Amino acid sequence: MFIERRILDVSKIESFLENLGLKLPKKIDYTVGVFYGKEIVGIGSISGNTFQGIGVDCRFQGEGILGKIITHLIKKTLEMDNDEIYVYTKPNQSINFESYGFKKIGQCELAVLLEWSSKGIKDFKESLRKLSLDKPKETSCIVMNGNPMTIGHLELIEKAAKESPWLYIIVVEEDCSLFPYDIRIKLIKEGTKHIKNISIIPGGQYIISSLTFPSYFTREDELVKAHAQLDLDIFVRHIAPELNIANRYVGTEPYCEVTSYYNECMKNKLERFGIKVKEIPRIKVNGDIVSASKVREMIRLGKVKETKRFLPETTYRFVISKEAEKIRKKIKASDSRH
Amino acid sequence: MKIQNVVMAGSLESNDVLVTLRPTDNDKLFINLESIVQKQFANRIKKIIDDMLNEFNVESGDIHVQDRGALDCTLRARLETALSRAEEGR
Amino acid sequence: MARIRRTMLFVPGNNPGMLFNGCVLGADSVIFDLEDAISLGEKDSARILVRNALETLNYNGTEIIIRINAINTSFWQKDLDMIIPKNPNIIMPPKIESKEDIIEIENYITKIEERDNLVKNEIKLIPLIESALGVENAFEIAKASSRVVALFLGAEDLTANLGAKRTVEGKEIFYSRSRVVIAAKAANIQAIDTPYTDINDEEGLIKDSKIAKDMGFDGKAAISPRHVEEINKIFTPSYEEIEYSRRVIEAIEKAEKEGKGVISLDGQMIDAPIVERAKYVISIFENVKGGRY
Repeated sequence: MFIERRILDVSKIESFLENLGLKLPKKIDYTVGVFYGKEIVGIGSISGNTFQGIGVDCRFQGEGILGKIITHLIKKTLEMDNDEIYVYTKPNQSINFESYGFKKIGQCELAVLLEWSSKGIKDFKESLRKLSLDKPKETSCIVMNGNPMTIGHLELIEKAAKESPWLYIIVVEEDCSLFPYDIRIKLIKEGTKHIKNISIIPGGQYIISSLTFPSYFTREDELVKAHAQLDLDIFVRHIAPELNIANRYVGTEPYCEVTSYYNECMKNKLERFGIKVKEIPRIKVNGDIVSASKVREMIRLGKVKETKRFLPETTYRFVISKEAEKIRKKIKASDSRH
Repeated sequence: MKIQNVVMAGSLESNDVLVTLRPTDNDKLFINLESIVQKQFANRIKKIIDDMLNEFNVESGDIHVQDRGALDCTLRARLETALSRAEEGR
Repeated sequence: MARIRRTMLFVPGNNPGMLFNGCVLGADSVIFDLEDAISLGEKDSARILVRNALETLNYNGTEIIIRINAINTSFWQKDLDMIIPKNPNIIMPPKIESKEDIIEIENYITKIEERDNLVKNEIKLIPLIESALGVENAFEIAKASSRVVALFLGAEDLTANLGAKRTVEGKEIFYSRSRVVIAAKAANIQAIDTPYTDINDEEGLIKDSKIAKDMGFDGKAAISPRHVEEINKIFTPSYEEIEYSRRVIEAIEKAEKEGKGVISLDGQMIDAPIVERAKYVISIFENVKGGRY
């Protein structure tokens, strides 16, 4: 007899997952365990709007335990008044979730991303399509974080806008950056007011930042590959077609290995789908390459005034403002790369 | 009643049935039945669903029923559970 | 004659497969569980499913017990509202600590019986004693109502309550077991022992069941169908017990025929408790083995 019970003891969750070669998810909101007598034989957690750390003891596979976990977590989600769930899973497990109404929205060799939502990507694509109705039939895009927006970003945007009939700037919406999303997008809008042929749009749930990609889910060395491929798969299947994107502009990446790997994958994948990737060399100021991470590092070291040469006026004005005090403090206190 | 939020009852295990109710954006009523005994029993199952929807006065919604060989009384139980939850606004 | 309850198998109330197959697994009673086996968000679902099961199914003589939710929850009354009209044999209220608990539940059941014009007092109670206070008050609980037909000891919650560790030898629940048996027999009702929770330890199960039988329990609960057969074997009277009981009955009949007032057998005085026991053993034997050993 299998009984489902909430598990509150994190060490129990961790040890069960460890035995399956899975890591403990960060920030767990709820965990259900399937018990056979006193023994845990299956486990699954909700973290925000994703299901994570789902595993079944190999002695009990094929007994519907996975189904119990999935059903329980879906019902719990509904109880918590959410109606949107995301799951990353290995491709051979995808079918288990699809029976419960999950839809595949991205796929790569190592992972599948599924979504359970009545609105979800369908509505997102609809909104993109509506947006594109009155725009030219061949457009360009830049996907950016803008943490914060630098003159390097501005240069890239200006170049792309000059070379394209229309430019979409897609902003990563995940709030895992030191500058929060609403500030980032505000600075982008302000810094590009002078450019007429652009639309600045939120990336929604569908731009996968490497921070949100679950590290519990696969090995360290496969992580970056899986994240890049999945993100790009979603881009070419769902986002690019709705916006009629023919070109994607990106800055060269001299520092971050993850980003430079991503750019390589991007060139590969997008060309196969008929989208050109334009890699523009980063600009330099007095021999220093302009990068947002450098700007954040300077703020961290208290050298706020010295960021001026790297930032458009609109961004700089914000960075030194009283309004940004909380952000400056946070940056000083953090040792995060992002 | 109109289905106004997403509600689930039951499961996909053997002998059970998973009932998922969703709101529709037009005011229509959709019934989608998947059953492992579709050929033999679809009509009977549909009748049970219709009767239950009538009992709860359901005017609109997306009714998805995934049957895994449930007895009639199980199907009725899961439908009643889902519809009661929908009524309560769960 | 008391109903035979060698085994009581727990079945999760929200699981159709198990609910509808529960009765072919060989247990004398099945317990449809609305309490611990059901997560909070599914209490309504289990309740409705169990109600439908009671309505529709033919249980072929297996006793149906419903474990409702505890009286300190918001669920127990809804459980009874839905279940009582469908005539289960027994209601098993968990976490019973005093006679007042029983009275409260009984009053509620009676109200439903009156409201719905049901036969009164047919539905019985088997309270689950799983705390120190419950053990202390076991006798008053046993006597709290004529509906109470057995006491059931739940060791898992009890040992947690005691701050003790549950072991195979069972020293930590020895007193509680004894106390519950005494209370039950003093009140002339049955005593049912706690289930063995290690599904894979058959040896431990057998040891634990033998301890319970030897202490005077009439039966034992089980949480796995795999345990039912073993427990049945242990709580079924042995050949010796049956033979002895047969001889007791013969001695009584002979004495009655000869008009003798005092009967003895094998140097032991045969009086009422021994007669009762003998009749009970024979009835188990006849009912479960069809009169053949």
